Parts: sequence; C-alpha cells; structure tokens
Amino acid sequence: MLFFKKYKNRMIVSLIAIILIVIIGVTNSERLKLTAMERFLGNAFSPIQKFIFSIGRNVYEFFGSIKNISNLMEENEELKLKVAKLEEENRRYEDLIGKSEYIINEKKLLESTNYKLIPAQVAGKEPGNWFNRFTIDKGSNDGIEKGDTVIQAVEVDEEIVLEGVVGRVVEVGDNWSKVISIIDENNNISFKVIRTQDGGIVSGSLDGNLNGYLFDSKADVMKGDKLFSSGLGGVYLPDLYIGEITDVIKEDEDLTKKIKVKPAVDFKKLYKVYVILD
Amino acid sequence: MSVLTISIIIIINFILQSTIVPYFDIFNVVPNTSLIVVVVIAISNGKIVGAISGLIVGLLSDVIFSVPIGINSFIYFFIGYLVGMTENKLSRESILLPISMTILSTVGYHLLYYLFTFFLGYEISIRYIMKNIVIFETIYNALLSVILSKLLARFIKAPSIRFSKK
Repeated sequence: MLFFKKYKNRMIVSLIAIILIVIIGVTNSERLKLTAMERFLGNAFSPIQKFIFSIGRNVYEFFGSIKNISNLMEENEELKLKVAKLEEENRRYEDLIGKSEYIINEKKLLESTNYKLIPAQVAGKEPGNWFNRFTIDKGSNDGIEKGDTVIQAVEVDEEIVLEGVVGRVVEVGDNWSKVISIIDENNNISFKVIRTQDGGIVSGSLDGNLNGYLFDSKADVMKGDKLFSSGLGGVYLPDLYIGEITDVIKEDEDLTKKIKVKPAVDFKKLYKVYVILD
Repeated sequence: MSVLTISIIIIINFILQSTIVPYFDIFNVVPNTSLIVVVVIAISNGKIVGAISGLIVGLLSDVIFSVPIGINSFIYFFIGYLVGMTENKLSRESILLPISMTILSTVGYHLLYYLFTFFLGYEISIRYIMKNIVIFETIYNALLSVILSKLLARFIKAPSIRFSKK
C-alpha cells in the first residue's frame, strides 16, 4: 500500500492515459452509431454554436465591408459600365426567350434527375489548424445518414451552376452531423477529367488545396481542366464538380502524373450547404 | 477558481473557439484558445485541477468535431498536468510564466498530435506543419496568452495569508 500511496498521482495519470489511447484506437475506425454521451453533448451544443456562428459571420462581413469602402468609388464606375453591358445583353435574351422551349425541357430534365437535397447550415468549425471538419445543423431527424455527400451550388461559368463537393457526413446525431470536407488531410476522392475522361485520385492537403495523381501517366491533362467526381469506390456520388487543375507535375521516375487542384468551393466562406439524400 | 467558474470558462471558450475564433485567422492559422485556457487554469490551480480541466476541454472538442476521439483529450490532459506541476515552484505573478508555458505547450501539442496521426496512418508532412502552422500559432498563442491570463486573473482570488497550517 505504501508503494501505491507514494505513486498515487502518477498511477492515476498513466491509467487515464492508457484509457484515452484505447479510446483513440477504438474510435479511429468507422463506427455505426454515436454513444449516448456524444449524442447528448452534440444535441446540446449544436444550436448554440449555430446561433453564435451566424453572429460571427455577420460581424466578419461588417468589418469586411468597412475595409472595402475605399474601393467603392472604383466599383461604382465599374458597375455603371456593367449595367450598360447588361442592358444590351438583356435585349438579346429577350430575343432568346422566343426559342426557349428546348431550354425549358432541359431544365425539367435536370430537375427530374436531380438529387434530393436538404439545406443545412454550418454550426461550428473544428478548432485547430490540422483538419477541416465542421458540424451542420441537420441530423438523423431530417433523414441524414452516415456517408451522405455534402455539396454547395458553385457557379462555374456565367449562368452555369453545378453541384460542388464540400465533403461527406461521417457521423450523425439527432440534430447535428459531423462533416469531413474534401480538403481534409484524411480524405480521398476519385475524379475524372471531364475533357478527356481520365481518372485518378485526389486527397486534401494542409494548405487548403487538393493534391492527387492520375491513373494513366500518359493522360493528356493540362492546367485549367475541370474535375468531376467519378463515383468509384462508392464514397461520393458521381458527376459532382470538384475543381480546376492548377498545376501538372510530371516526374520521370514516377509512374504516375501528379496534379494540384484548386477546389471549386470556397472553404473559408462556408455557410449554407446542401446534403444529398441517397 | 471554483468548479463553477472553471466549467463556465471552459464552455464559453469552447463555443467561442468553434464559432467566432476561426474568423480571426492570420496567415491561415487560428489561435488555440483551449490550450491557453488549460495552461492558465493549470498555472493557478495546480496539477490535479489542471489535468481534469484539460481532459474535459479535450473531450468536448473531440466528441463534437474529430473522428478518432481522445487525441485532444490526451494532449490537453498532459499539458494540464505538467503545467500544473509548476505551482508553488515558479512565481505566479510574472506574466512570463503563462507566455513561456503557452509557447512550450503549443510546440508540445503539435509534436504529440503529429505522433498520434503518424501512428493512425495519416500522411502528413511534419516539415510543412512546422513551417506553416507551428511557428505562427506559437506566436499567436503567446500574444493571446497575455490577454487571456489577464482576463482570467480576475476570477482567481488572491490567496489570503494564513499563518497556521492548513
């Protein structure tokens, strides 16, 4: 007993350390359900976080607009020019409306094949600089399941709006879910280059871009090519927009071609997202 | 500090850190206010309170945000314990104590985190982290620790002078 008394503190500390390491090991693999405690904590914190997160965003935007006051004059001039241009364009579009029947059909088709979407709001971001995870304010009560893909509407060219991949749901609570974004270190996504249909895999990196490689080292890809998810592996749904290639690196000793990709979604300004229900 | 003040500080810090603090990034690096809070609590309350509050701070952020649960808890637990060991050995009044402890524990946090992610099989380059995260975060945290320790010092009651043994 003397031994125990002498080293009591140290023994408790090492015991807790061992328990924590075991927990890390157990929870690192994919789990099916959250424990009751996690559920409770998440349910309690998610609404508060959501509320304060939106306050923070408003404050941020307010200061942002003050910063931009000096640019307002310039912007005004630019806008005047743009209005003139748009008015002219408007006339052309009125012309187009006459032959709009096929466009309407196309839209209908798009709508009918579209996924079932649930709007959600970002509730909190993971503290720290290592990973890019966040929580959203919708959970199993709204029908969200583990593995669902999270997207955001992204404007590619003028007038063309696509589904840009944000990430995927990894764990679901009652009114909240954890989402891992595609720029997270621990996340891989298989893609295809829309122009040449070449495939490959990109994964997140710490600097907020995506790094990846092509399966075919002779693939003809170049800067500016657009990447879509290919759906291989079944983790992400196919045909979602990932981003644009910013750099192609060819190394002779490597059998693969490496690429750097700029994601289409602006992860710094993530606020409203959509969850695709399978 | 009473249990109530400590838990309120921890909860408020957690909510603010996951909502407001990400907007105050400098060079894409956000400060780790949890770490500073654990350091300050440990300095003024000793190793046992420090370790327990570190454990709670870590568990909160692990349960809500990260997938392997326990990494942050482990690191904050030890930071709280080790920093708390300085109680009664170093002058608590000096502002240098929280600063130096914050610097040490920020570096220690990232080294331990790297160790864990390494064994969990994540491919992360330590050089990139050192260059782009650790340096800036250490400076940022050190500056913030001055403000936070002054702020939290209000909640710490000055020990009344006693001549008899406890």
